[in-house]
Amino acid sequence: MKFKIFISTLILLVVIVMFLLKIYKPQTQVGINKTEPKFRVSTEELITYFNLDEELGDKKFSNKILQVKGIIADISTIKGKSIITLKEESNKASVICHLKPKEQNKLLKYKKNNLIVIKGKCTGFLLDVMMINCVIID
Amino acid sequence: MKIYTTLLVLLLTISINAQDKYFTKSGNVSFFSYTLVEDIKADNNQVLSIIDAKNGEIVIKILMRSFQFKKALMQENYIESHKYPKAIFKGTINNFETLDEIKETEIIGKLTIRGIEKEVIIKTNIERQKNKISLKGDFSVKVSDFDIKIPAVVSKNISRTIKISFDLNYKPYKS
Repeated sequence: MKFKIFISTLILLVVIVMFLLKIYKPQTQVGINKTEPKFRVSTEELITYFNLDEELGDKKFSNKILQVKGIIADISTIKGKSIITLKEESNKASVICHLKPKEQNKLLKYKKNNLIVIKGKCTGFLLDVMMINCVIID
Repeated sequence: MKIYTTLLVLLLTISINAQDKYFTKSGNVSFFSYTLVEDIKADNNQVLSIIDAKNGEIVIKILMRSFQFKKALMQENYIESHKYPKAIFKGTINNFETLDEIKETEIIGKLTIRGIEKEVIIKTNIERQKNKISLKGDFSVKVSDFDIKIPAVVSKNISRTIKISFDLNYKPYKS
């Protein structure tokens, strides 16, 4: 009897946890807007850090929420998703930010050479610093 | 004489128009795992790749952290991206010079994930135009080939064979 109660409770707990997991979304995906960035940097600072030591840059910035301020060098769209490239004159590299779909409307206010502040998750460095799940900070 | 001049002009035109390198910084690579318990899908739209049109050599670099999962909770780290942040493929596109318009071919090379290198042959659809190259296809890898350890707890949720799809659209590289 005790065993039956134990098993039933366990199953109930598992069901509850599964239900909660389905409706509760983790912060990194949904809460970017509300999440405090770990670092606030300029395009120049971010690129320079990675250029000097990619491994160190990776340790410091990758997988973290960053807030980056810089000049828009390019705005493009791929498969309906917007991509903003931030670049400094002195650098060959740039910061490439893939925006969240809901940011399309905010993006209409901006064009090339405007100053912009973007918050998103840094995923690392290839030829440029890459960021995903980006939102525009007004 | 006329033929000679025409040939010379033709050669010059070809050499001016010939693009050496093609690249993309927003290539797409996705992976799928199908099991009876669960389907897992992740997309990466930040793939970097360069093709050397002179010899068909291709390099593809993928940031593991750029994969976005359909289900947010799936972002588990069996790849250990803090240790191995990138996956790299280096190889050659077969018969690249003789390819015209839309064709099917193979890319032969080495795929490195988690520091482990493996020879792969990948079938691809290739579309080649003057200012554009497109590569599209898919292939499968065994999780065990790259020493990816799946905990027993989620063993039924993750397939031992993962299907990888790619959709890469290149334009000429202007240095």
